[in-house]
Amino acid sequence: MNAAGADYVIVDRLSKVYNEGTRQRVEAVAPSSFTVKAGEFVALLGPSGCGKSTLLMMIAGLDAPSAGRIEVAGRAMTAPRAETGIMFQDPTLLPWKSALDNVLFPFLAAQRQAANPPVDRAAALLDEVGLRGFHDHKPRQLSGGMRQRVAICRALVYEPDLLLMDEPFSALDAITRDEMNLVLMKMWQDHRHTALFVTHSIREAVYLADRVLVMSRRPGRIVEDIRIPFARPRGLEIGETVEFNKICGHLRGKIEHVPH
Amino acid sequence: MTTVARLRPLLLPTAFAIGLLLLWQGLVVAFNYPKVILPAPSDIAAALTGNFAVIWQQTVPTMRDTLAGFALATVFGIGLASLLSFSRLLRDAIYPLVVVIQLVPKIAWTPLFIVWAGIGWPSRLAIATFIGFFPIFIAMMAGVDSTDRSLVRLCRGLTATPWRTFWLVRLPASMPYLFAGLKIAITLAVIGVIVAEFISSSEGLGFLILKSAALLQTDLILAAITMLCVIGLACYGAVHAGEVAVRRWHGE
Amino acid sequence: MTDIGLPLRRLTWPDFAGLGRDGARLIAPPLAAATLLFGGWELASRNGLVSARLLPAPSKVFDTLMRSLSILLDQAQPTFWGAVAGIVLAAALGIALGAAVSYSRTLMQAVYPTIVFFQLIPKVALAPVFLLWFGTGFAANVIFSVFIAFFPVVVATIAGLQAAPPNYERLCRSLMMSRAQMFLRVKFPFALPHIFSGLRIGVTFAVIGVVLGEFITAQVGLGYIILFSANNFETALLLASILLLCGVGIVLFTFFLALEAVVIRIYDSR
Repeated sequence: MNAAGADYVIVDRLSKVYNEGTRQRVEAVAPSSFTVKAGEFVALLGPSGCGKSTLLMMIAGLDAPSAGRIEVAGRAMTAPRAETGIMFQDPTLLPWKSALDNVLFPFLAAQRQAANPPVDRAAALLDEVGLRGFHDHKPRQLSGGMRQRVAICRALVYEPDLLLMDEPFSALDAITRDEMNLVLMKMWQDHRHTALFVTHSIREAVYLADRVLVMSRRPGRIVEDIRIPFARPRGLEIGETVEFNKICGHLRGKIEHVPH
Repeated sequence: MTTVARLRPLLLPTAFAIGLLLLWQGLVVAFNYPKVILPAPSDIAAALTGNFAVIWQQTVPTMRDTLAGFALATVFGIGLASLLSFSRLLRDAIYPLVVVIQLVPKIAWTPLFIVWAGIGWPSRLAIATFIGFFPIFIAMMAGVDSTDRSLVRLCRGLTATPWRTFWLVRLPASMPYLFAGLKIAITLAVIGVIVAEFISSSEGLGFLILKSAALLQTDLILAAITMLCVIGLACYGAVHAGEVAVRRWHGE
Repeated sequence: MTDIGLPLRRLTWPDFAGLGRDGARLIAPPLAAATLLFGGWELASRNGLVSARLLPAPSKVFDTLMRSLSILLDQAQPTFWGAVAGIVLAAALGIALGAAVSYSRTLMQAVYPTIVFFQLIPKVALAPVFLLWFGTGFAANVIFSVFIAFFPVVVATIAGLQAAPPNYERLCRSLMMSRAQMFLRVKFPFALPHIFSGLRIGVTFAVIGVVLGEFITAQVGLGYIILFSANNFETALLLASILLLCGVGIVLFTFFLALEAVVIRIYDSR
């Protein structure tokens, strides 16, 4: 658990331009600034292609910014850091490894204490997300939702201080998606990492996050930053409350009528 | 499904093949073809059993050169493709050249290898290695290239070194592709050795075939070819079994 | 002999269209590598690092090629036309048989494994038998060439004719299309890329078939020159004729690549 209250992630006038100096110049992310406090769950909400994923990849150190600065845990980001956990849109599992070995993959890849990978912790995580009995299954034998559950475990197994998620559930059907939101919520409550979650689903953002940042259409810039007041733990039923739907309506308005 | 329906994909082709052989046998017997032109399947079977010692004696060198060449081609093909996967510049420089050489009829280069390495087994080993190399290299390259890019990105996110990314992700991910190349390479390696034996050799099935042709022993030629088909298919089957194992390992 | 599942990177026309823009970036590295290779070879050969008898310098090979060009081109004629006849006949027979076999499921199930069997066995070993049957002339070489180039084409055609996704077949049936219409308008277009990949393999085999015939009968053609110069240790002439043979192979291959682009464009524009 991080000390609450301090700014853990600082994004300062970060921007990304592709093909600078050519006719195909594309401004993917307009200069954007925001911060994420330690232990906070922030959702970054925006329409498809608004640059929110690019922004996240820059924070992960997987994409170089064109201008601006990122600071995580008091240090400037220049390359991927070992203490960040990442989830991508697709589960990105190694097809030839079992669910358990996939969860342990980070220890193999970066040789984090490679001598004794924490098999027990990985197994416990898989049980926690409801994959008891599937530890030895290969990814192709699992459903889409199950694969994403494995990916959650893989992102959490080395106890990262920051969890970055790039539309992790966007490829799943609506029912599975609700399930996955519950799983993620539970895992986050148990582990309390600082989390940044990119999504284009308004309801998902409001349901999961402490704070929602809204990004405009390309070039993406942050046009709204609101706090979500619901107490935790949250059940799926809060989605039917008036207040929930009011917040969703407000956010939808922000996405549709963004000032250019 | 009934048993017959389930066995249909097996029974039909077997029946067809047996029918072909019977037709062949029947035509030869009915029209009394001279054995020199077209021996009947029964003649070939008799030649195969009657000369089995001779044929086997010539099978050994052919098989030895093929397998050794195939093994070397595998090492070189995987090695070069792996090396190129680490350097964009090297890859851009060498890959197009290999693709161009891949297009030319390489078996025709056999005499060149005989000039270089003499008429003994080294030249046959060299030609088998040479023509086996290209499909393996190109398949391996395709495999390394088509590794799921998000897996590579994951490795970067996990701060894995390029070497570990290669060892843990690119190499295992390219295995199914590699085996597609290996299957081609093993058939080509057999062909390379046979052609080299045709051109100049005093051992091997190719030599036996050509010698029998000179003596107009057509039944012995076809018996030797039957043996060649058996070892060719056995090699192919072994590689295919490897492919099946790899695909199973990949959870397919 | 060759599995059409080879994940060859396909050279398609857009690649060539992009040459203008990315030309320098695409061409420069292989060009530099080739220059380095041939430069090193030239130097090594001149300095006696490698025996000029075994590996004459590129300049010497080029010189030989130029001096013997008229003879070599003369000898290239039967090889080239033999391969052309081989692939054209193999294509016609292969596509026709593939289509006929695919017409009935039962027929396909019965015949396909036998075809695959022939595809996998080392057919070049049959060359002496073919020469026994058909004599030692141009025609015999062409027949052998057809024989080995034929199988990749049939296998690719049969595989291609099954490539149309099942929903298209259902669509055609719901539109009350006849079998012939369905074949012409749906199955064949879907099969075209497969057929052309079979033809690309077949064209290389057609050249090999002719050359192999020339190796064994040793009367005319580039195959004969290659073997002749090898036997006489005229390595420069050997390399020059191999170079020319590679030229023949690449010309034919490029022709089929162009044909593929044209045919697919015609189908796309309809």
